[in-house]
Order: sequence, then structure tokens, then C-alpha cells
Amino acid sequence: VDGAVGVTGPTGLGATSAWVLLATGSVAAAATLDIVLTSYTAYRDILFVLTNWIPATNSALLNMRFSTDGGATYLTATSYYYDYATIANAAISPIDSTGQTEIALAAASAAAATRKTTGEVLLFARKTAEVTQVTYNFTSANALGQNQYRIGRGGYDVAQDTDAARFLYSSGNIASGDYEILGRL
Amino acid sequence: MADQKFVVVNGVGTYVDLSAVELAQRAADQAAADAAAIVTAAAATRLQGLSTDSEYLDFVTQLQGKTAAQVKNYVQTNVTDLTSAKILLAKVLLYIARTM
Repeated sequence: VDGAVGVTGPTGLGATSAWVLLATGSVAAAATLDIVLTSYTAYRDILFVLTNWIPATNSALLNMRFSTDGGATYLTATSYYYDYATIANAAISPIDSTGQTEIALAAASAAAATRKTTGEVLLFARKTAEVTQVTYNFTSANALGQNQYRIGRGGYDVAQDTDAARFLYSSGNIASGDYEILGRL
Repeated sequence: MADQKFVVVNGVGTYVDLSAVELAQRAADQAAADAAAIVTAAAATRLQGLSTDSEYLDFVTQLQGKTAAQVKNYVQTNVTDLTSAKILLAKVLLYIARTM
């Protein structure tokens, strides 16, 4: 168990140190949430906790992209990959995908205050130029009110120093949401 | 108000207008999302329509609870050339997709 602030994380085992809360805040009516990590170079792993997210557009998908220039630009090449399983309606639906322009984090989410999306993304070992990898898990509800839970892993298939992360919906703005950023040495 | 992004630097968040490049990327993302939605909607409509498609229902009936000889007869009757063979194969694919 990782210790600090009750974080379990998608892969809590093997933690080398406790999590440290680096920043917290809220976003509203924005196209993207961009988190620049250049001031957190001391931390080997970064955990993004996104709570109570709502898209402005119904059925939008929550996605993630990386940057290697401190957030000046974000990578959109078809080098992202991900595997995930979505649990909904007593069924598990796995997906294996490569050659994508982003990592698909959460299932289609309703643009409703009563159906918020919450989850976390663990960004591994970004202190060295390696293939950037994340694991994640999100709970959400679709426009029909059906609850969905997704657990997955993904990355960008190029060795690089990832120093910023972008969260965005497949369509429309982020209506509202909270975030926490934690670091682990 | 211009389209904005929320940028967190050193733990401090600020709203910033999207650049021209980011606006173009956003439009491209939206176009991709729209295209994916159209394909998904078309597939859903197709599957929905199959439940009342007499030809499809006949095909399913022929496959379910029939003897090997009857299935063979159904195939021989309905496959007479390349086009009809493709149609039958397409039906098999739709049958598989619908029952997944």
C-alpha cells in the first residue's frame, strides 16, 4: 500500500516511497486540462486523480496526450497505444488498440451533473527517455445512466522524456472537473 | 469568448486561449470523433433493422435447428455466383456480430 493520502493507484504494489500531493484544483469550460510537469522532475512517477468530471458534449470520451516540450505542443502522431477492459451491464469488453492519436481513458460519458466521471492515471518512470507508459482506471456513466468501469494501460511508443500531460474530451469542452497531482520519488 | 485551455504550471492553473494550431487540431479531433460516431450509428441502425429483416430471419432460421442436408441445400440454393456467395458471407458476419 502506497501510504500517503490514502492513494491506492492502479498499481499500488512495489511502491518505492509515499505519494506527495503536488497540486490540486478545478477546471471548467475549457477545451483541455494541460499539466506541465517540468517543475516535478524529482518525481519518478506521477499520479493524476481526476474527480467529478463532466463533458460539455454528451457521450464524449475522455482522452490523454503527452508533450516533450513542456506543454508547448502535444503529440498527436499515431504512436499511442492502449489496451483496456470496460465493465458494464455484467459484461467485460476488452479492446487492444495501436496507432492511435491519443490514449482512451474513460468510456462514453454523459453530460449530466448526476453522472460524473472519476478515476486516476499513473504515469511511470518519466525521469528517463523511455517509452512513456500509463495505467489507469475510471468509473463513469453513459447517457442512459448505465455505470461503466474501465481499467487499462497505454503509452506512446517512442523513447522520450514526457514532461506534460493533456486531458481532453473527444468532442467539446470539459464542462467541469477536479484534479490532483501526486508524485512519487 | 475564445476557446480556452486550462494550463497548470508549477501547480498554478491559468486559462489560456487556444492557439491557431490547437484550434486546427481540435477541429481535426472533432472530425475524427464525428466520423467514428457516424460509423457506430450506422452499424447500430443496421443491427436494429435486422430484427425485422425477413431475409435475415430466414437465414437465421435455416442455420438454427436444421440438419446438415438442409443447411447444404440452403447454401446451394442461395449461392449461385460470386455475388450471392459474398452476400451469404456478409450475412454470416452480421449474424456473428449480432450474437456477440
